[in-house]
Amino acid sequence: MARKMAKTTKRRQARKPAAKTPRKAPARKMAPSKSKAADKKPAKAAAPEKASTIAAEGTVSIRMYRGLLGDFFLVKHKAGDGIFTMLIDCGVLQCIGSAQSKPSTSRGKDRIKAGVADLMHCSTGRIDLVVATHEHYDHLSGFILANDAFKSLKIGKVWMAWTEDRADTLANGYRSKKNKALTALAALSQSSSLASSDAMQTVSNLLQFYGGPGAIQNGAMGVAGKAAGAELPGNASCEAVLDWLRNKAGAANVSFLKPGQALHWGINGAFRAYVLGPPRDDAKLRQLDPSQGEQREVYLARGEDVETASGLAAIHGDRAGDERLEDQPFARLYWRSYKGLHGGNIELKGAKPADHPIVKLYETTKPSSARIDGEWLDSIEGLALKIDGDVNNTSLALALEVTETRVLLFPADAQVGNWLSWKDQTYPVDDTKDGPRVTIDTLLARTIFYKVGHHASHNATLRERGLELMTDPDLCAMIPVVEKTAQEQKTKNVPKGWAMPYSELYKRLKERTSGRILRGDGDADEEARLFQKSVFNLEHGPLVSAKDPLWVELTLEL
Amino acid sequence: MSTSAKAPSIMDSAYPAPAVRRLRVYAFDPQSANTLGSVGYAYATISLPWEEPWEDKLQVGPVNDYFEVVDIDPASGQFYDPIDLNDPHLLAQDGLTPSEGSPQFHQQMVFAVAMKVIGLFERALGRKVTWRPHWQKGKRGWTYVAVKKLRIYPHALREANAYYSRDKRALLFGYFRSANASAGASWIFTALSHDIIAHETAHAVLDGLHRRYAEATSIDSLAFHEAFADIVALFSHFTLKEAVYSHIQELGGSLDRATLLSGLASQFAAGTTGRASLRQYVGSEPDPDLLARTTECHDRGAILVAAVFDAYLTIYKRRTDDLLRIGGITRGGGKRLDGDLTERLTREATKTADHVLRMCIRALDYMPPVDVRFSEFLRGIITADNDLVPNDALNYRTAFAEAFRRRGILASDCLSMSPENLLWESVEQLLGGRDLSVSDIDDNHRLDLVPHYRREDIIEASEKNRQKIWPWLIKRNEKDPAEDHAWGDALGIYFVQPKHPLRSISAARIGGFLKVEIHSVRTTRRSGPDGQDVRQLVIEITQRRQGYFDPEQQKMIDVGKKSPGKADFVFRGGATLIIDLRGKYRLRYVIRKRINDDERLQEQREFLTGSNGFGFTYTGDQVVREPFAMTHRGL
Repeated sequence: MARKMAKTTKRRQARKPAAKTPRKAPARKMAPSKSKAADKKPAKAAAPEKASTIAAEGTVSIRMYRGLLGDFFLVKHKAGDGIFTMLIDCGVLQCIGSAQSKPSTSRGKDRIKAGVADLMHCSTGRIDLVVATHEHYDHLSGFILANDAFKSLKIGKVWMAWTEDRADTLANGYRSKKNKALTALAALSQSSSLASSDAMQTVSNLLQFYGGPGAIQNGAMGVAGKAAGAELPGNASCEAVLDWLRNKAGAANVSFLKPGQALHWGINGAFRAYVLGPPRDDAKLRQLDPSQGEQREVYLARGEDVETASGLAAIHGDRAGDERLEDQPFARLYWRSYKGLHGGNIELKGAKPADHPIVKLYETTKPSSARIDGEWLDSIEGLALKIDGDVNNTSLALALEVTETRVLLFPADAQVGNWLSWKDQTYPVDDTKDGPRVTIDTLLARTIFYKVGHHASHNATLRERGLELMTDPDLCAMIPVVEKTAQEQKTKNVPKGWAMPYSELYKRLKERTSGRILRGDGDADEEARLFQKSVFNLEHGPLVSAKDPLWVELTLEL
Repeated sequence: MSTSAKAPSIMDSAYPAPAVRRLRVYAFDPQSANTLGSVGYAYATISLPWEEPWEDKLQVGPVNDYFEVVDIDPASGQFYDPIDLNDPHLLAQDGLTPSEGSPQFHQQMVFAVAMKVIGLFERALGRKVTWRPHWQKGKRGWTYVAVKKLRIYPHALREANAYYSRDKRALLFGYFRSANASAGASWIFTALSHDIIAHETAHAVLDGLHRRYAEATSIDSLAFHEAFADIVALFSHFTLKEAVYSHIQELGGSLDRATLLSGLASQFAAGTTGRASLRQYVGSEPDPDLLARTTECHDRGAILVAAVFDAYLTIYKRRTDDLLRIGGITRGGGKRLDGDLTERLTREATKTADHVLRMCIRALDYMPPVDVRFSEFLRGIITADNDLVPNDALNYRTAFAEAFRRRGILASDCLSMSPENLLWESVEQLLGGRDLSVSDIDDNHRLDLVPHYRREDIIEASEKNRQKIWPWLIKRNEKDPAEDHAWGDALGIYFVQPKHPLRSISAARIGGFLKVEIHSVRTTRRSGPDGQDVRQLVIEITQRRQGYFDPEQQKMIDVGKKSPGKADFVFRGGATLIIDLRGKYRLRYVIRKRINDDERLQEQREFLTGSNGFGFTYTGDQVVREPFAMTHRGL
């Protein structure tokens, strides 16, 4: 089923380049490019659409804007006078809390504005292709925070995952469930009496990825979000950013990608891009058995959990008091309003518990940790984590081919389910029907550049089916991370903040890349030294402050 | 139904106390009561023994000697009035009528089913059930402090979940609104599922008995906990006469078809995954290789339960073949059976279930104190049964051994899978003829071996015995140092550093000794079917060793080239001693796990570092907060 859909879309895609005329490219007749495919498979030379003579030439570079706990990448293809620019995400983690308590986090906002200014300058205000990988603030917030600078931006095309397609019932079902859950979580996180609990701190922490409770609630009520022409309001949600991009590019230039598809990018569409994920397989999505190991559901929070959270939000949320009969399990006859430790917002009608021995027994429980006042909040925390993982799993994961044996891997924040699904399909190396295809193992073996998933957290780089398959000795990696910022995200449950990069993974990455890792907070001199022996040329951007360049860039001569 | 009204106190009654208190419950869950096919046996009445004079009286809540049902519901901001089971209106009609809409009935049902499970355990173990104690610092140093009553919160969570919380010493039940129509209700309460209550209560009882089994030391350890809890819930179904009768009648005397009886938690499953049961124990052909491929703890546990269930079906068949022949019936021939025959078959089925469950529970005293494996459970079953019922006329033990073998649960350290070879080695076998004397165990410090009735007294006596046995065990035999060595060797631990030292075992403060814990001491008294009387003292001794993920680091620390820093994990060894108290005290069995077993250490290391399919990624520090949850939260 997935295979079939992928094919139909591919055909539609293949026609598109002919219809659009990208800016700088000299007028050309664009046969769906075949460059490598043709080289690779001379036997296929007789295929109806023969390769043009446009071979991939020039340079390809990858620029990471530094100082951000967030993804902001510019990929360029230069050949002769031509240039093709691809922006992959533009975001930074939101700073919730004071600048005093989170100095590193609070600097992110200025850094991304500086980055956007630089981007607009060197791209002369036009980006050929914007890739919006998934709906998280640390990937999209640049469009909100630097909206002024982006006002004059011209966008050629936009790529998004199929999960953002409003015309797709599967995607809509998934999204409405997610939004319902987020709305409930936001409401609960606004309750002052719950806020102090460990579980709710984690929830609030995770809601930063959606711009915080305010943006979510405004989004739910339709207050914000509607991208008003060229502007995005400051309280916009990530969903609004996607709308804004859609409007900017024009609906016809937006593609929703499905796994197994191959598209063209670069000058004259010189290169292929393979869509690895997010997975789309009805059977797998409906496979709800959580005990199936690898088969584990990929991104569906359980329906009953979302229902439950909505009910709880009505009872405890910031607008509690709209007492609804259906939110209580028992009939009014049995109600005895009881405020435990976390009961501040609850004002239900019904008799108060008398000075009952059982209530006394409960209130004198020893040790007091055996009480259960906040125990139910763990399920809310679990739902928040699940939703967060779900959204990460909707990451548009791309393998960008630059020569027939070299691949740049951009998995966004894909987690286990997404990575595991990459082997469920093969990838067409040319545009002929039933042409040759490669497997994910081949693509990973050819990977010379890896954008480390999810800021190198513990659960977004697969080991056996991922990093261990990236065997090319030229492998390099970029980690869009600022460790200090990650450490500032402390809660009671996570006293040391987030482990980004996660030490065990970082260690293995160093081994696999012979130390050729660039970080958002890396030491520029050290990086220059380590990249002396690399297929890429390393360059740092202008200094923002001492030893702290605005960006770092790797360039590959083709 | 007022709770404050002063009912005439039962204590003051001029009449003798009744033998039992009868309470109505859902036999399975509300779903089966709303289904025409099963409505005939959807309700059951549980008979609980009336409180003994030395026990706490049953109070409003219910609160009794074992449990405190506290019905507060923080998620919904509610407290529900507690039920008074001594109210004359309830006494006159076996408690409240089953109803999903009455929180008081929920309290009655969790209480009744949990008490029923207690009854099953106490009968088989020959002693009272106690809960996992607190480890607290008192005036005289660290000591175990008894937890007398386990909390039950019937409405603790608003989610599709329920668990026994070790830290809280409580059973927490959740409820949720289902998105699936097939569950037949918009609200589903885990506190109304017989299976979930029985399962979680069994977790609590097992944890009270074997505290170290909750540690994730191998893929078998948590799986065993799950499996055992399921075994209790499953065989508890077969004590429901009406349900068994109806199934036997419909299925022509056969029980090996997937039914309500052989599955668990139907309504919970319908409300979450949309399936007919959470776990189904009939219908999967034994596959000896499946165990090796299965790593998820509930799934792995399911294989063990299936093995026990296979043994049950074999025994049931053997016990009823003659009856079917007399009746001229082909088993499972599709013919509806006549009433008399069904009645007889039902009696056999329920009796067999009772036997099988008792065999499983009795095995708990015959297992190592730490790091349990499925095969050790099998050996425990066989040995415990052999001690109590030496003459296995109906070949129960063979049925168990064969069923386990067919599910791939093998005892690799036994000569063969025949019941004789599965018995734990006697002390003579284990030590090559040398006997270890326990006759002096009682000499210096008289042990308290008097049978107690009050649970507080039992707990207190056991804690005192624990403190008395320690000096006996640790005392050096100046005349015969070889005996000290023999003891250490027999127990699989070290009292002093051996010639090739293991510095990862920490030293006690007393000069030269290594830390050893007397983990528990308990006495049992059981009666066999032919009047056999078995009185035993069970002593568990454990030792801990610092474990490190890096084998090189481990080696360096073991030989003393590096000082032991913070351990990555705890590796435990130790032994269960079973002492026969009849006549002269005699050591019968030593069931040990050696502390110097580096192979086992490596297995635990691999299990914890997750190269074993445990983790797909680079994760290492995820803590499962409630290991006994029906469903694990988050990712």
